[in-house]
Parts: sequence; C-alpha cells; structure tokens
Amino acid sequence: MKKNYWLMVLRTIRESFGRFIAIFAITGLGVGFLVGLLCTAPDMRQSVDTYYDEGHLFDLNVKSAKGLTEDDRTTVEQMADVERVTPSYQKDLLVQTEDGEQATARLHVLDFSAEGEEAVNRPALKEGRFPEKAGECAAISDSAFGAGAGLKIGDTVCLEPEEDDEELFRERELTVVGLASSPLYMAAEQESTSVGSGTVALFFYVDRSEIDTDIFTDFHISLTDCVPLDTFGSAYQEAVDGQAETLKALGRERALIRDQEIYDEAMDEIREAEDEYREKRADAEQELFDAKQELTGAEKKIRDGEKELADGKEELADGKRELDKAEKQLSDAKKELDKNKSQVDKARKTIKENGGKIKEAKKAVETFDGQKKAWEKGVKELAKAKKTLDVGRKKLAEGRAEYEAAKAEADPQIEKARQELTAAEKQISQGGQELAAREKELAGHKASLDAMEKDAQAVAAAIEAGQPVTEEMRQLLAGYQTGKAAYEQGMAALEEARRTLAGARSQYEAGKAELEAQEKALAGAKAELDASEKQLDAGEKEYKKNKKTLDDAGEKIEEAEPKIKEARGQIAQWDKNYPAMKKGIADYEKGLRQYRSGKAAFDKHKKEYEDGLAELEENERKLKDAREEYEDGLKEYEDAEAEAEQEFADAETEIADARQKVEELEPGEWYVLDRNTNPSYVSFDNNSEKVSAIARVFPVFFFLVAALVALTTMTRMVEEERGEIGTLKALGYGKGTILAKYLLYAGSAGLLGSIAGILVGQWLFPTVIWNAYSIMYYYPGFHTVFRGIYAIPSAAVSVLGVLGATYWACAGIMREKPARLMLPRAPKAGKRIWLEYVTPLWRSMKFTYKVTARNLFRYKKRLFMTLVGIAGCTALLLAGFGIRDAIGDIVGIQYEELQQYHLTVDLEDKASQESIQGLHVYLDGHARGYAAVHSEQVSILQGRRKEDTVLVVPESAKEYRNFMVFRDRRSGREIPFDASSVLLTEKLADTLGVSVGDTFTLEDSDDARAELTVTGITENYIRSFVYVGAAAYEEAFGKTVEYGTRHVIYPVEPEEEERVVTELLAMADVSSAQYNSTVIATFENMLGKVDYIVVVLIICAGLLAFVVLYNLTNINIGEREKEIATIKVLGFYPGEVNAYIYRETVVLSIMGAVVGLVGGIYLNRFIVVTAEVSNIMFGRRIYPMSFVYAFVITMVFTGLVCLVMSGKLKKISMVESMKSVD
Amino acid sequence: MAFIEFHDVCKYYKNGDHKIAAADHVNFEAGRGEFVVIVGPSGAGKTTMLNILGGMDSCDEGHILLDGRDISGYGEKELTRYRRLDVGFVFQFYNLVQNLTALENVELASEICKKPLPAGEVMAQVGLAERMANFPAQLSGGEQQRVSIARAIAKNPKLLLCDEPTGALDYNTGKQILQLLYNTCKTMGKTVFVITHNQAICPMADRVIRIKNGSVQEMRTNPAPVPAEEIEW
Repeated sequence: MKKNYWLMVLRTIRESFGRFIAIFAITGLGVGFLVGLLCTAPDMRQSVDTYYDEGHLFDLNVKSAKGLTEDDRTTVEQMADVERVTPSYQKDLLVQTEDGEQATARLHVLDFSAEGEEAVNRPALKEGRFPEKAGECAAISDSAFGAGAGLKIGDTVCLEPEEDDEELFRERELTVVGLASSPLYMAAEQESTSVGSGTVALFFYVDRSEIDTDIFTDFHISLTDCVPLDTFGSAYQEAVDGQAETLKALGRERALIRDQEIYDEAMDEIREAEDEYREKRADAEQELFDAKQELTGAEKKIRDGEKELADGKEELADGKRELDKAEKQLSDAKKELDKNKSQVDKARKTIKENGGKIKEAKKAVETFDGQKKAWEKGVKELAKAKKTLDVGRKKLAEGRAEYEAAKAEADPQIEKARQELTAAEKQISQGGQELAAREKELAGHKASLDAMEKDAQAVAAAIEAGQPVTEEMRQLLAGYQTGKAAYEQGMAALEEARRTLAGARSQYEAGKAELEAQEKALAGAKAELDASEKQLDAGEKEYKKNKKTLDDAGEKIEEAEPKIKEARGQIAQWDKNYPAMKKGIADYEKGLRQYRSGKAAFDKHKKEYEDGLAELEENERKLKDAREEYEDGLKEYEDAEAEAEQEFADAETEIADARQKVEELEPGEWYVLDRNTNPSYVSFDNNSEKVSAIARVFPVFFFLVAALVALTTMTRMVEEERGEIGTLKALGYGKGTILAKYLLYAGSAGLLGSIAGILVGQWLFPTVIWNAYSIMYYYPGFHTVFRGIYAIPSAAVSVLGVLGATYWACAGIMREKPARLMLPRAPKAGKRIWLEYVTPLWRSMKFTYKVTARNLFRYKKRLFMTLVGIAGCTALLLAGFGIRDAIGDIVGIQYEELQQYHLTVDLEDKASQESIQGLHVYLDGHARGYAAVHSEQVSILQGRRKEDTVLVVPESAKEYRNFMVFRDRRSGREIPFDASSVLLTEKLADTLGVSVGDTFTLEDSDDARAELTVTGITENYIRSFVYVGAAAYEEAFGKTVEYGTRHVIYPVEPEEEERVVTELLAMADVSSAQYNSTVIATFENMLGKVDYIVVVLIICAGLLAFVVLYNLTNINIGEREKEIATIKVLGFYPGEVNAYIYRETVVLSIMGAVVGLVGGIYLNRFIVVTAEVSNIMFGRRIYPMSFVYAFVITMVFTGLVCLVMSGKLKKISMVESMKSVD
Repeated sequence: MAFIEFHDVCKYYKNGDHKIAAADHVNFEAGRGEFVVIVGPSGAGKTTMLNILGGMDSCDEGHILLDGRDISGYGEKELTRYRRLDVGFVFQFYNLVQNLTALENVELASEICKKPLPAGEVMAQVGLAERMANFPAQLSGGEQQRVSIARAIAKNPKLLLCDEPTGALDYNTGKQILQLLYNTCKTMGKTVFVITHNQAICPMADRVIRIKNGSVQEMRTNPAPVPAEEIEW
C-alpha cells in the first residue's frame, strides 16, 4: 500500500540494527530456553520409549523360585491382552574371566532360534552373532556402564557355579560369540544379587541348550496395546497394573499345580531311591559274603606253606653235616701240603741261587778255552812273520850292492858327456854372434845398394828417354850391377851359415836330454832301495810289539789255569744233583693242584647250602606277611560289615527325612513384576522427572526480562523518533499506521527471535542435557522433536509480550499533538528524589554520585529492567551453585554425620542359629560393631497417599543410637529414640504431611496394617525410613520381631570392600551385603551431571546479564550523549567519564545482584524441592562461597559489558554533540 | 609576547576526496584580560578556531601559544587537563546537566579544578543567588546561560570561551549576558573570547578579529570600547 512507509520501516531496522538485535536476542534466548527445557524431558522419554518398544522390553515379568513350566506358559499365553510370553532362565553366579579375575555375572537363557526376533527382552546384536549351542554366549557390552566393557568376541569365561548348580550347565567354559545391548541394562545402575560381590558386573545371554533343565525362572511378557502407550505415562502403568493383578491370581492357581508336580516328582524320586537302596543293600551283602569266602581260602594256603617250610629245614640240616665232613678232609690235605712246602721252597731257592753261578762258571770255562786256543795260534803266526822279515833284509842288502856298482860305472860317462855338451854350447853361441855380424854387414850393403838402385833407375829412365849415355852413367850402372851381385852372394853365404848353426843346436839339445835321462834312472833306483828299507823297519817294529802282547797273554793263561780246573769240578757236581730237585718240585705242585680243585668243589656246595638257607628264611618271612595280611583282611571285613550296617541305617533315615521334607514343602509363589523393578527404568524415570521439574522454573525470568528489554528499547526508540512521529502525524498519517511501524519493528524482531530460539533451543538444550545424562545411560538414538505444543504457545506469548511492551512505550507519545512533537522535546526535568531529604547523607555525597542517584530514580523502567535482569542472572547462578551444594552436601551428611554404619548385611529369612552365630563371630573379629535390626519394605498410608519406605526396627534402641544419629535438621538437636519411639524421616513426613503427634498407618510386606503415632521427625537425605522401637512395633503388630539384618560399623579401604562383601556372601545364609560406597558412587556420579548443568546455567545467566546490561548502557549512552560531551568539555578524564556513566550500571548491578541473591535462595529452594526424587532429600543449605561466586560472576559480566561499551563512550565527539539541541 | 598567539594555524576536514580548510593559516594574538570578539559569517571557521583554542579539537598545522605554552602539540590527556584547568566554556545552548540543580551544575565544574571559586559566590555574582536550588528546566534561557557562565567562571580559568552566547536569547537578555561577560572580563581580569556572527557586538570589544573563509581578514584593537548597553542590533 504505502511503499515509502514500508521502506521507512525497513530502513529503520537497518539503521538501528543493534536495537533490533537486542529484542531479537532476548526473545530468542527466552523462547529458546523455555522450549528447550520443556522439550528435554519429553524428548528423553520418547527416545527411551522408542528404544523399549524396539527392544521388546517386557511389560510384566513373572518370577518363580519353584520354576515355571511349559504348561504355565500356555496358560499365560491364553490370557486376554497377553501378546507374547518369552520364557527364560536366569541365574546369577561367579565367573572367571580370561585374565583370571573373578566377577559376578548374570546369565540369561533364551531359546534364540525358537523364540525368534520378536522375543521379549531379546537383546540387540551389536557385533558377532547370537549363541547357537552350549558353550557360547553373547555379552552385554555398553559404554554407559562398565559391564562387559573389556569383553570382545572370542574371549572365554569360565563359569563357577555353586555346588547345587554344578549339573545345571552343560559347558563350563563359554566363548563370547556376540556383543549385544539390552534396554534391560540401559543405565549405569548396579543390579544387586546375592552372589559374589553383591552387584552384577557382567551380563551374558546363552542358548537354551546350555542348561540342563525343563523349567524356567522367568516369563517375560509383552502386553497387547501397550506399545503405543508412553511407558512413563500413567495410562501405561494402569494397563500394566490391571494385567499384573490378573497374573497374580493366575499365579496362585498355577503355583498350586506346580507344587503338586514338585511333590509328585519328589515322591517318585524317593521311591526310586528306596528301590535303589534295596538293590544296593543286596549287592553289599553279597559282596561281604564273597569277601569272607576269600579270607577262608587264604588261611588254608598259609597253613600249607608252613608245612612245606618245615620239610625244607630238615633237608638243609642233612646237607650241612656232609659239608662239615668234606671240610675236614680238605684241611688234612692242606696240612701235608704245607709240610712239603718248606723243602720245595729250599730246593727252589738253591736252584734260584746256584743256577746263575753255574751258568757263569760254564761261560768262564768256555771263554778260557777260546783264549788259550787264540794265543797258541798267535805264537805260531809270529814265528812265521819273523822268518819273512829276515828274507826281506837279505834281499835289500843285495839290491844296495848292485846299485853301488852301477853308479860307479855311470858316473865318469856322465861327466864326459857333460863336458862335451858345455863345449858345444859355447860353439853355438859363437856361431850366433858371427851370424849377427854378417847380417849387420849385409844390411849396410843393402842400404847403399838401394841408393844406387834409385840412381840407376833414373839413369835407366833417362836412357830410355833417349838422353845421351854419359860415362858417368855407365859407371854408375855398372857399379850398381856389381854391388848387386856381391850382395846376393853374401846373402847366400849367410843362409848357409844359419843352416849349420841350427843343426849344431839340435844336436846339442839331444845330447842334453840323454844325459838328464841317465841321471834320473839312477836317482829312481836309489829311492826304491830306501823305501824297501823303511818297510822292513816298520815290520820289525810290529813284530816286536806282537811278541810282547803274546807273552803277556801267555802269562795270564797260566795264572787262570787252576781256577778253571776248580770250576770244572763244580759244574760236574751240579749236573749230577739237579734232576732230583726238579722232580721234588713237580710232585709238590701236582699235590697243590689237587687240593685246590677239592676246595672249589667244597665252596660250591657250601654256597648252595647257604642259598637254600636264605630261601628258607625268605619263605618264612613271606608266610609271616601273608598271615598278617590275612589278619588285616579279616579286620577290614569286620569293619566293612559294621559300616555297611551303619550305612543301611543312615540311608533308611535319609529316605525317611526326604519323605518328611516333601510332605512339609512350602507352597510356591508367582512374583509378578513390572518395569518399576528394572533399575534402569526407575533411574531414567526419576531423572527425566527432575529435568521436567527444572524446566518449569527457569524460563520465567527470561520472559520477564524479554518484556522489559522490549519495553525500554522501544521507549527509547519512540522518544528518539518523536520528531518523525510528529512529522508523520502532521502529514496526516493515522495513529494506527504510526503505531504499526513500531509494532512491526518490535514484533518482527520478537517473532524472528522466537523462531531462532525454538530452532536452536529445542535442539540445543535437550542435547546438552542428554549429553550430561548419556554418561549414565546407553541407548542407540536420542532424537529431538519439534513439539508445537510447547513451541507455538511460547513463541506466541513472547511476541505478544514484546508487542504489549511496545504498545505501552508508544501510547504516551501517540496522545501528544503533532505540533508539540515537532518541537524539541522539553528536557525531562530534574526532580528531587527522596534521598535528598536524608540531608546528612545527601550532603556527604559527591554530586557525581548525586547525579547517579537522581538518574537511577529518573528512569524507572530501566531501573526495573536492570534489577530484574541482573537479579535473574545472580539468582540463576546462585541456584546453580546451590544445587551443587544441595547434592554435594547430602552424601557427606548422610553417610558421615547421620548414618554411622558402613555396611548392611541381610540374612536369609530362615537363617539357622549356627549361621547367625558364624556371622557374629566374623563381625566380632573384624568389625567395630554391629546392630541387629529388622528391616523391611513397607508402605505408609495417610489419607489417600501411599508412600513406600523402609521400616527399621532395632533390637536395642539405645545401642542403635551409635549407628544412626537422629536429629532435627534446623536446630540440630537430638531427637530421643527408645523402644517406644516412632520416627519418620523428614522428606517422608513432608510428603505425607504428618507431624509429631500425628497417627499414620503402616502396611507391612504381608499386608498387615497397624496404627503408629509419630514421636519425632529426623533429618535424612538419602532414601526414606521409618524407625520404630521394638516395643512399639510388637505392640502395634502383635508379633515378635525377627532381626534379619545387621548394620555394621566396619570402615575399610574402598579396594577392600569387595573382598569383605565376598567373604560375607560366602557365609551360610547371608543373602546380601552392601557397602554405602555403592550409593555414594551413584551420588558422586550425579554431582558430575550437576556440574554440567551449572555450566549451562552460568552461560545462560551470562547471556542474560549481557543482553540486559548492554541494552541498558546503550540506551543510557545514546540518551545522554550531549551530557557526556559536556562533561568531556569540562575536562573530565576518560576514566571519570566512564565512571560517571558506569556508576549507574555498577550500582544497578550491585542492587540487582543483591536482590538476585535473595531471590536465588528462593529459586534454589524451589528447584531443589522440585528436582528431588521421592526417596532423596537434597540439602537445604547454600554455602557462603556460592553466594560469593554468584555475586562475583555477576560483577564480572557487568565489568565485561562496561569494557565493551567504553569504546563507544570514547567515540562520542565533543564538537559534534555540542552542535545539536538537546 | 602576547598572552595568546596563533601562528599559521590550519585545520582541514576531509569530505570525500576534497580537503576543506576550516582554518587556513590563521594568525592573531590577544593580550591578557582582553575582551576579544571573533566575528564572521556562518561557516567562516569561527567555531573551529574556538574549538582549537579551547582544546576540544587540535590543529593540523601551526602553533598556538597560550601564556608562553604551545598547546598545539598537546595530546589527548594534556588537552583534557588544559580544558579542565585553564578554559571555561559558554555554549549557545547552555549545555547544562538537566538532572542537577543550578548550583550543582556549577559544582560539577568546580569540583574537578585546583583552585575553584566558591560556587555560591559565583552564582551570586551572576545574579542567581535566589535560584541556586532550581533545576535547569525550571529556569529561563537567560538564567540558564548565567548558570552556564557561572559554571565557566567557577573553574577560575585563564580563558573564557563563549560560542554565540546570545544566539538563543532575546535581545535584552542577550545584552545582559554580554554585559555580564564584559564585567567578568574586566573585574576578574579574565581573557574572554566571544564568537558571534553579530557584527553589532564588535564595538564593545577590546580587540576584534574578523574571520572569513577560514582565515583572519582583519584584526584590530579598539581603544575605546562601548559598554554593552549602548550597542544595538
């Protein structure tokens, strides 16, 4: 319609985007928070409901200790409204894991193949497969709780069943073939059990074939029509309750039938046992008879043996006598031999001694004979040598005479020859000299001849040339001819002389040689003669030497002659005696050999005799043993006979006992349980309830603050635009149109904010809160869903709130006349405030503070907005910290201040006196103290209310005060407790609305009722109790109390607790033992979640504070720009300027925070009470530190906003601001 | 050396690509205790000069000497200190804090000075002894301007700067205000600068500085100033 008008609206949004965002943000925050929190619990429940439906979680569970049968199943299946019945066998027992640790496990037996996919409580497979045969199992393995965390496919676990169940399981070792999850075990709650450590740590599913029984322990039942119902809703509970009643009724019938069955079976068994007994008795008697027989036989044998032994002894004695005779003979022989021996020895000695000497003598004689013979031969040879020598000598003398004669003849000849030779030599040398002179002369001739020849030749040449031949020339030629002939003659003569001389010389040489040969022959003959002489001399010398040697030898032989003669005599003597001696020795040796063989024979016989003796002794011993054995056997037989008698008697008693027991069998019962007995379900239900309770409170603030923010923001906007409004009015725009702009502006911001808030909030808050809880729970999918039922009204209310605030802001201005609007707005007059009338205070204030004070009161909307916003922020923080305190407190108070015992031990209903005694002995030995109490689940009825609680009746009220402190929470005063007291815990009393002096009805587990009057209300946080004195109880119920529970003061280290519990549970008739630490751990876990929520609260509170303060400061600065410029001009430093403005913010924040602290106490109280679940009372105390935290964090947020805004303050220009009118 | 000296003071404003000189080599001087009127048409650069002189703005070039100190080089903090101790401002629109009474407005300034004059006395001096407890909204324009002057005087500054002090006032009130300023100048010995586009005020000044297009066109001293009552416009 009016294009420019819309343009204006859009431009306004763009230009004042910060303002638009402020409204957008605060509505977004408010709506998001509200919708998010509102949706959280429904989202959580719906997700789990879906999980339950998909997982076919049971609606009802029938349990029977006596067992359920196929017939039972058929009957239940025939019930209307029962959709499906899945029978199961459930057993808690100890197992040993691969690493050798013992753990408590729960075994679920399910016939996987027969029951199929739709089986109730069938787990969802995550990995691997389901077990198909004995020895296989699937383990529950979820991250939400520790169970099965370490298990993987292929691991094995060893079952360690109790004695009674030994035969129940087909395979002791189970192999994990699959990992699964089950809605049954969704939460980190601990399932308690009477086995092992008291809580179940591992859950396994096994196939039906694993166990050997026909009966079941459980029927898991799903009901028709229950799936579409919300499992946490009342419609569902009603439907289930109705069916439970029907089932219980059916159970009473079926239990009777089952009892009869059991009775019949037992009776059959007894009868069988009796038959068996009879049979066995007959067998035993037969056996005894046989044994007796055997014994008699043995005795006879022994007697035979004894006789044989006596015979043997006789025989041996004979042998002995013979032996003795032989021994005597032998010793005689020995004696004679010994006598001969000395003679033989003497003979031997003689032979040995003289044998050598004789031999020597013989040898000496022989040598002597040889020597004598050699000597005689030597003498003969010597004589012969002498003769030869003499001949040689004679011959030599003849040779020498011959030589002398020859020499005498030769010597003159030789002399003559020598003389001739010497003369010849002389002639020859003379001839030589002559020859040489001739040669020399001839050489002279030659030389002159040669000279003449030359001239002759020249003449000849001249003649030939035709020269005239002169006389001279002819003479010359002739002279030459003559000279030449003479020379040639001389030469021939010389040659003749030379030849003659050479002949003479050779004659001389031959004569000389002949002479020398003669002389040599003479010298040779002489030398030969000399050599012969020398030879003769040497022979003579040797002869002389040999002669001497021979003479010496002859002497010696002569000397030796007599000795040799004697020796010869001796030898002859020996040769005569020796053979006799030799014979004596041989005789002796033969005798000896005979003796020896005789001795050996004797020894052999003797040995034979001894062996025989030993054998006899052995047999004797054996016989003795046999007798002993026989005696023992006899005794044994007698004992066995007696024992058998005893056994027969026992068996008869046993059978009688069994018969009696069967007759006295207690009737069986069906327990019908719904999901409220599943710890996961209960825990989740409680927690989601808490979330929805909290969701109801928080968003209120955000709504209030959103409206206030919208109001102040729009007021400021309208005031800023008053000129424009005036102009529009003047132009003729209607009121509605102008108003529409602001409504549109604010409304669109609010609507967009709401949408954004819903989109983010409905996802963010459920997810964040769910994440906090997901540590405690496992389920596959969490889904956030758009819930129009929460989102649309929330958005509508928010937008309407914003529009209302806008309308209110505009209303005043709309009434004004355009003319006035066009004028600058009259400055809002300063006003005195009430504080000024407190003169002394006002006077003492610096007036910058006065300005602050006046401003605070001047803008009331802002004051209010800021107060609410900041107060809300602080209250949220305080509430958050307070919740932490509330929960953090209670564990400590409950388990340290109030409850003094650490351990609760329950006994079986029919515990024997010995078992109780045993427990007491154990406790006396270990624990510091214990109190006997009666403890039982009861209901308290008060008007129409019915509360489940725990009844505790101590045996001794006075002593029990050491185990439990009864006191008033507010005053801390002790509350008296004696045998006639009746105390209620605080939360219980509050819920029931009873106080001291009121009467209430107690209904015990057997549905018996009694009236009791409250004598006190005691502080208590975890679970609820009604403490009744023994006298009061007995009076009210008219029956004696049985104290089946022990509260025990037994502090041990946490790691020791499991051991203690295991020890206790191992004792007879102890059904459960639990340390408080289990509960404490749960609470500590819860505290962790609360921390998470506190963080969410702090973030929300911070956002709230920031939006509010930012808006406030923004408006403040915008409105007072000129004032700020003025004080800047006046010379205020930046710090002073900031202080001038922020003082208001800070004062408002402090005021808001103080209000918030007060409001926070109430908010905290509200949240704590709302969030409490029925069996827990949170602490009511907020710690001082929580106040400090809440306050300080608020101030930190304020400081942050101031820091952000100080930039804006700095930017304000003095010059620009001065220009405009106010 | 004069009490105040402007040497080639320049101030530029950027307007897109254009650089506009709001003050273009301004040179003038004034003596201690003088009543100075800076006159010129709108947009001539009077206010710029006053802003620079008053330490609300800084110049881009040149030097400003006040009592021998060069304030042109002052940083943000020194300028604030300068404004705080040495300068008193009077604005056209009074710029009073609405939420404070007249007296409190004066105290607002005096409280941060070293040797302020007693606020009450100053109020009496400007003739508002009876109206000290009133809020600005309860005062007339003239009265508000008197409060403004009192606020400036109470700081006991060396310099009193008045930007069109009569601009929002009627003729008679304006004259009264001018007289009050003149008296303040003469009796207290303050140097007073009055900026105006009203030529008629010039005769009462000791010194007149004419500004046009961002520079001083004329500076002259007036040996015989006329009292305010006698001038007319």
